[in-house]
Amino acid sequence: MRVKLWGTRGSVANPSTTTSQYGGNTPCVEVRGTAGEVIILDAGIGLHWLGQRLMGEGFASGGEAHVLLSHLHWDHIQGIPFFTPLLIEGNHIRIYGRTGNGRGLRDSLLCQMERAYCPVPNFFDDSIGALLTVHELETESISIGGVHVRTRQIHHGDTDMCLGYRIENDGGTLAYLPDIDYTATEHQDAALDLAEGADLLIHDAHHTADEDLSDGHSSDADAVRIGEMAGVGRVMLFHHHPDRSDDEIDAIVASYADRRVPVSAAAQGDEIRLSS
Amino acid sequence: MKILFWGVRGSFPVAEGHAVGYGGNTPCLEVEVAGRTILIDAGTGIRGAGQALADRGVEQVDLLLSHAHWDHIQGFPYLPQLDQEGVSVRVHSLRHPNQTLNEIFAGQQQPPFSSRSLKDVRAHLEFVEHEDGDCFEIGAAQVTCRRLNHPGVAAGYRVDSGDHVLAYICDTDLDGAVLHADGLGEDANETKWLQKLRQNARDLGHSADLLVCDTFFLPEEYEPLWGHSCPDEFLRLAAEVDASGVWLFHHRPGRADSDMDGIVERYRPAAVSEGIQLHAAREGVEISL
Ligand SMILES: [Zn+2]
Ligand SMILES: [Zn+2]
Repeated sequence: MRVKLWGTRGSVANPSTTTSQYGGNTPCVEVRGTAGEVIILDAGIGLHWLGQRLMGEGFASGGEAHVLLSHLHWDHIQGIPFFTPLLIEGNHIRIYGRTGNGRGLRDSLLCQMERAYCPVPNFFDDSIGALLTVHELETESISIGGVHVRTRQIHHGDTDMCLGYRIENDGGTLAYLPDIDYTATEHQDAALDLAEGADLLIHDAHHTADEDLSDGHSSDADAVRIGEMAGVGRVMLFHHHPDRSDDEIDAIVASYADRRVPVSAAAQGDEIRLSS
Repeated sequence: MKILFWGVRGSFPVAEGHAVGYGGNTPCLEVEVAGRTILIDAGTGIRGAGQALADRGVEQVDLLLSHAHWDHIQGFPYLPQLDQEGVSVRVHSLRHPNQTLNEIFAGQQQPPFSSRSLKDVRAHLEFVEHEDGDCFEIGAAQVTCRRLNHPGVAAGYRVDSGDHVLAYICDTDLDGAVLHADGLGEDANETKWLQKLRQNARDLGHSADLLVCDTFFLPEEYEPLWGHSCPDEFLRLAAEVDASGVWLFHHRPGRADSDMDGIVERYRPAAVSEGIQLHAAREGVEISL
């Protein structure tokens, strides 16, 4: 399994010379199974640039991609209208997620395409571009080719629904917990379950431990603690605060140099291979 | 009058190596005029603008909104002034046929899309809806709002102060054959409306020192259904209305810094022959008139 980071920044994109190393695009992580399965975790602005890459890899004529959404905050869906493979007839783009607000995923995503806000055609209209199907995740596990996906609800402030994912393929395991808070101890249960023994944990580190943690996000200290408790192979800090500079992130990572678990910070463009 | 570019990119913010020179934030301009602060559009650039205003202790901000497409409002929830009690934020826009401006902004900041509700705003927030052609005052500056040819409901603005004029004409398809504007009525005469919206752009740009232009396209890329223009149309407009400075703006996301340099080179001879100064807007550039 191959993991590539296309967007690592939380809340709002921040293109800046002070963020160019770790990146300013909002969350999007590409996961490729060993049989070529295309799985995409979250659809922040990074999705546009992943889409441009996919256009050169079969999606100019016909490809299938599986987009797994953690939740529907803007920073996790704002790339959808700018995902070029959606314009191409013959592609099949599947979007998975859960809303928990009584309104389905499809209807919720349609609001994003409302004419008052959205400058592009409505891709949910079947006559336009690719086949776009929306899958409400009702079960905890699905299989995409040879990739096994398990999901659980995680606690993210007052958000109705936020999902974490555990992805296994060919003996490698990735845990993805992009937006999560631990304002109550029991919030750890789902996180530890999804992360248990994973090779790589991509975890919310929006804050530092001395910041206000009441807005639904974790600190780098939470990320490392959960990683160690779950016995993961490596912790990757993710969903960086929009104002966090490269230098500040470097200093945070350096502070964990002597920890049992290796800690790094997610940098836009990085690629990691996971296998048994 | 002082003008500062905080965001110059169109469609969506671009945090990619190819765009660091001109900048990747979506549209936002800061205009200082006779002791008052005006912001134009609320793309991601507005975060930096708002922070600078907060550092200077500015307590009154007027935001002129061109239209409500994501790239022009997505920075608004992160405007630091919204969290400041005692600060006044007034948002101006054209009236939409079926929605209030308040509803449009509240819609962006509602679950499941956002946890920053408009209800939590601590500043005094006011929405002001204008009609096509309205003139109003912000301090000693005279502001004119006119409808443009872009999908939905889009406006351009002209800011007159003393002898200086800034015209912001973005987003629009200036000379296209397709009428994009919404809500003109069942019996709207397409040709007449296209003429009127073109005339609106002329009125906004008349004798402007600074014409900030939607030059998303080059002629070889032009898509008639998107509602954007090329530099050619704006140079033509500037010559017609005696505008002295043309600033290419709302750069396409894929446009690299070297592409932008090339575009300025390509159009400079045409601009020079008309006596027009041509620039490509770059994040961080400040102009004093
Ligand atoms: Zn987020
Ligand atoms: Zn725009």
